Amino acid sequence: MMNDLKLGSREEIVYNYLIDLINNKEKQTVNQISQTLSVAPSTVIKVTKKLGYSGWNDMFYQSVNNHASVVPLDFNNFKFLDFSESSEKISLICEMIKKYRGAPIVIFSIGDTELVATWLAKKLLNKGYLAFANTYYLSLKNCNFQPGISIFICESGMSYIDIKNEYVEHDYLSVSITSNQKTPLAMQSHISVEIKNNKNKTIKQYEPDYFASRVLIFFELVLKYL
Amino acid sequence: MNLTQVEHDILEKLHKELNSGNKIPLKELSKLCNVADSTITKLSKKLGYSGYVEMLYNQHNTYLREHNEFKLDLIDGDLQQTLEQLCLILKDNCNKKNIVIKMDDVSLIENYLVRKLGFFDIPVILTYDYLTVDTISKKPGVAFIIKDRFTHGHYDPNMIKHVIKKGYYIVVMTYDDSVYFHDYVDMFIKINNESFQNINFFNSKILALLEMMLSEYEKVTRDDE
Repeated sequence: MMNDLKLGSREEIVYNYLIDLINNKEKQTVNQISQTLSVAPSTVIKVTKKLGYSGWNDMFYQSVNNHASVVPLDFNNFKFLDFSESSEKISLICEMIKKYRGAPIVIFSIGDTELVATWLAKKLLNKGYLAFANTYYLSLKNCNFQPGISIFICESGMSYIDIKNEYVEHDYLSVSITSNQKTPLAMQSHISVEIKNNKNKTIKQYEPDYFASRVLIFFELVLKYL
Repeated sequence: MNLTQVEHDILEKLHKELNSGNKIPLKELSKLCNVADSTITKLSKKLGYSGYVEMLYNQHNTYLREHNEFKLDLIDGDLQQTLEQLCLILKDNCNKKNIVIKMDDVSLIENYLVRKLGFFDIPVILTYDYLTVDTISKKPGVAFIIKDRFTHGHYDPNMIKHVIKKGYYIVVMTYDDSVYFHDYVDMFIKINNESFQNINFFNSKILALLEMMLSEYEKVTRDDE
């Protein structure tokens, strides 16, 4: 997770300690932390700022409170996302993207969500992230980038396995957005997000399929909290 | 807990800011409320928090929990009536030349429309050039123009004029209450622009609406058979 962060050895100790505090939901003051670790309070603050927060309080509450525990969006009584789960995923993906600022975020998408990768890459680029849509590892390998994140949006969860494997082999994290967490793509990804679709999708007796719409909502929320 | 009127006002303003998605810093809030920073810090402590930042995040979470059942409407107006009208238009034009005009650089919605109407044997051409519109071997059908607001973005207003001139049936889906070519629009669908934390859900709403339209279309054509 720290590939793109340049932390000194002392800062790394602070970083690990802060992560432990967050994981244990244990709020300590900057002074307490600095005393425990025998470092200057400014070192603690410096680490949190390097991670993109305004200070320790900001880092602690943003991380502990899963700030993206937002709302279950509801279009005309259709539940779009199960937010109890997806809010955690939104939070997790936000934190991951922030930590990988400077490293490539490669997004692939297919089917109804075909242009979501292009759309998302553009939005991330506008926010200062190095995002690429539908770009194979081969195209990036001569750029000497630090390994980043690969995101695969695929309703069926049956595509992109080889591409994902290639990215993972080169130390990229993998995130899958599928309609079912038991699909091969989802099961082999570091983080998998399940977004409900319409399982009975046939052209005869066609029922609305909100998968693509929900994926957009999901990423609008990710973008909001970046 | 007994709060003073000033303290009530501070909380009210804080909630208003959180409602707009703004996690307002202490200094800005104190300026907004015309109080000293220490008044807000004291209020935070009175409410049991260690300081302002803790209060801010807890109030933010409380706000989100309280709004757990946020509902977004798709359109302003009667949804069922709109869907039925769209189906009639599709039925009338399924053998004509239908187009969707490219309205931004990604064309996410336009491609979705082309792909999904293709499932139902309704050909739609995504176009941004005049030639596509001009070379008509079939009669002009529907021209879909889908854009959140016409006041910004990369699109060619002259293209819209050109399509109108060629006699297409103009269907517009937008947030805008009225568009500058309103007099030439045959069907105007006003997308509801209610949002949450200033997020623009236009694309999501359009995709949901298109899915409903397809389902309705399939139902209507099935009934006809």
